[in-house]
Amino acid sequence: MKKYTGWLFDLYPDPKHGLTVWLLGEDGKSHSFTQEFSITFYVAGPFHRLRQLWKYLKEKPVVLSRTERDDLYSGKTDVLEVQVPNPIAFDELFKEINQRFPDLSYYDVDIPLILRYAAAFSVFPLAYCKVEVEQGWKISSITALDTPWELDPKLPNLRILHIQPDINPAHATPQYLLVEFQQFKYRLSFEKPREILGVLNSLLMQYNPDVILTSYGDTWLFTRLEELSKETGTLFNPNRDLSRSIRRKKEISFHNYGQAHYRGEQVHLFGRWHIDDQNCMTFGDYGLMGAIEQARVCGLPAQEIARRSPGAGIAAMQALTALRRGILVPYQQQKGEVSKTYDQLFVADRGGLVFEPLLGIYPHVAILDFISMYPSIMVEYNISPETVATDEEDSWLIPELNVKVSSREGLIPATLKPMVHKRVAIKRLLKKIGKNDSRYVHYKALANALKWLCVVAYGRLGFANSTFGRINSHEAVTHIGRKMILRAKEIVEDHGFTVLHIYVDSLFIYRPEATTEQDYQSLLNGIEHETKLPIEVEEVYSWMAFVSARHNSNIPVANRFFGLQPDGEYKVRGLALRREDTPFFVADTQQRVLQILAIEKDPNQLHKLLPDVLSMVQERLSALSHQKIPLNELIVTQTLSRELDQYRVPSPVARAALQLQTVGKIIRMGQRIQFLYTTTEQGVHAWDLPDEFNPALIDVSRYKELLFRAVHEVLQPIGIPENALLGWLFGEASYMLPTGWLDPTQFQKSELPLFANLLI
Amino acid sequence: MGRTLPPASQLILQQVDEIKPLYEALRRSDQLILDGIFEEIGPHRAAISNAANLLPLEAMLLLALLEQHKKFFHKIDELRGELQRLQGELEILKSKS
Repeated sequence: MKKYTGWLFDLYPDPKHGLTVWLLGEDGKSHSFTQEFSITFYVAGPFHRLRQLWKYLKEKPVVLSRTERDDLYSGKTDVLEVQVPNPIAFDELFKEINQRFPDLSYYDVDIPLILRYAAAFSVFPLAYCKVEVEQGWKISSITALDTPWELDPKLPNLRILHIQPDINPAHATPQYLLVEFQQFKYRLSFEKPREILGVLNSLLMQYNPDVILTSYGDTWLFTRLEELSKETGTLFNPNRDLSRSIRRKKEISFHNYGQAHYRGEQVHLFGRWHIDDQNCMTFGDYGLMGAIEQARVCGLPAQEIARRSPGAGIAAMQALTALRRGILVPYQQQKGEVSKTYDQLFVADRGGLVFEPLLGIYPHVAILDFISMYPSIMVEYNISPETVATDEEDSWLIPELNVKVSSREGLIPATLKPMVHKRVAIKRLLKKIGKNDSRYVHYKALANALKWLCVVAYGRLGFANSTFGRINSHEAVTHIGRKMILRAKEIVEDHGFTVLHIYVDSLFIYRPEATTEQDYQSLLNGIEHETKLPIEVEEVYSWMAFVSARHNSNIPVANRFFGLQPDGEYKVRGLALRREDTPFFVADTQQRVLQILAIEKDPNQLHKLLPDVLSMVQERLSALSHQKIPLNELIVTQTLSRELDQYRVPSPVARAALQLQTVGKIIRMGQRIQFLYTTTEQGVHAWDLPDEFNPALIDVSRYKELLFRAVHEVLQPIGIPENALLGWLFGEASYMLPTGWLDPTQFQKSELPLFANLLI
Repeated sequence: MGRTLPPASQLILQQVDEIKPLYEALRRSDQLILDGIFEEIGPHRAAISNAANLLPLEAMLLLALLEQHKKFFHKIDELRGELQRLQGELEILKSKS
């Protein structure tokens, strides 16, 4: 018997042996083992139907037995247990019996193989493991030597190969393949396909990467490389397991949180990971490090979780907890809403609490942030689909909702507890070590990866297709959230602070003499004691500006602000530069305005910087008028919110997409379309059209308008009215500002005695 | 959330719509004042939303009253300050004469 230690890297069904398991050994080598593994699922229903199923399955290569399992809601349930000795036979078998016996209830059927394995052996992807192997390469035991909840787990040094075309293939035909690994960089011409394939094959053999990171690998590169392989007769197989060919997953368009998304076809490898950074949902927020963290925590393979939404990760975590607790995982959601009266609905069906901000600019504004508020509520107050709206004796009542919550630990709190604790620990560590610490980037990636999982954990409770969801528990979370933030507001005001803004889980507060985080410590302790929820000072900002609605400068807008940190950086929410559809030219100009304003720490002196701001903006406007702005800085990127044939009146993005469709490109809902505003009849020009674009057709006045709005957005809190800025930038008026004219706290009341007639 | 209930901003707009007959029969000068009252209520959307036990118009009237009181107390404070300043000046003038 041989023993190995290393990291569980990949596993998939093997036709002969059950499973192929890849371990990245501590010796730096990758090892492939086999292991017998059976799949078990359960069926419930009327006795006579189960009897018929039994008879039907008797002839199949399965092991059958009657047993009792726990249903999340109804407890012990009689079920038929079906054990399939080889995972490869499972999908076909289940499809077959589901078609023949659609009236039966199935459990534990749509669970990824790796989750079953994780539940069976208490391991997880990238777990540091000890493996015992007998009879050649057959695993006899596997034991995890760490847990997903360690702050500093021992991880392998992954060998990473970066490959990408020199240009987005949707825009133009790539000429070169850019290859990068360790300190080496190559640029290989697609006109020499044999050389490209030769270099890649030799890298795959000799460098033997664990991970291939690509751009457009899913949607173009691997398909192109396979075509080249066929054309030249040169073999090319990017898998580590050479007995396999690439596994492809179909493209998909879907809605998520009210937004349309598109995920292109995916290319997955065996024994090696492939991640396409252009075909991932949240990968850009945390990179490979974050994807590994999510894989360890959720139990899904890294090349899977990197591309999918965090919701899939949370669903996997819930299924894993259920498997480990012996709770049946239903094939389809079974429990709906517990009915309520209209009055109860009126109280319950509400979201997070939002206090509109007090408009203006304020010094020393602190943001108090409940860390992972909703998941913390679920853990602390035991909110789970099966714990809410119960009649158990030891349950406690939420009087306003008239629902009782069980004291028995629920499935969701049990799932989330270690993750929430880990995120709180990482957030506090980040605060302690500061941004200049070399470990900051690493921990920040972990915190971001966990943040996304925490964010969707709450949504899954109310999601219609969620396996373990129930709207009553979803409502209980927001209800407790509202109560807790109001309680925190009371405590804040008791301590003499002014509440400027509340946004669901954050309070924006200030007290002139509270200028450092230490000044908030007793307040934090008080809130944490009262609410039982972790809270921190996110930052004490030198000043913070709250931006009003564009159409009415008296109306505040929630979550639209910019705040200057003591280190000169900004926290920005809701401004043009944060929006995806803002052209770089506009976003960059707004950023430059903020950079100029960042010089001044006293908000009452910001108006003195106006001449610098105006001169910079005028330069940018002049560059725009004289076609000196590169075209790619004027690109507008928007997501196609529906299929093209569903537009009654085509929006600019739909018109651009139609142009692309006309030249033969395949357009799907959720795709991001890039275009320029033009003075042509259609008003837009799709960026990815093959024909040359004439820069003289750019709609300069449209871009000027966008730029003006973006600049006014950040100057308006200082008290600059729209028509005054119009005059300064586009009219004949020269800049002048009477002393005392701008009062940031009273600006909305300001009249314009000097510039009232300047409107252009 | 928000699947079944209109948000507070929508409730305010609905109320504005409902009082339209009343609004139309007012003089322009009074209409402008009423516009101002509704504008002042806007930032209190969170309170309206949180007061599930009240009718929206009830909550809005209370908030209008609140804003009136705020203005009133603010003016009283301003006048008190002005009075103190004038009294001070008067004292100085008296002492000079």
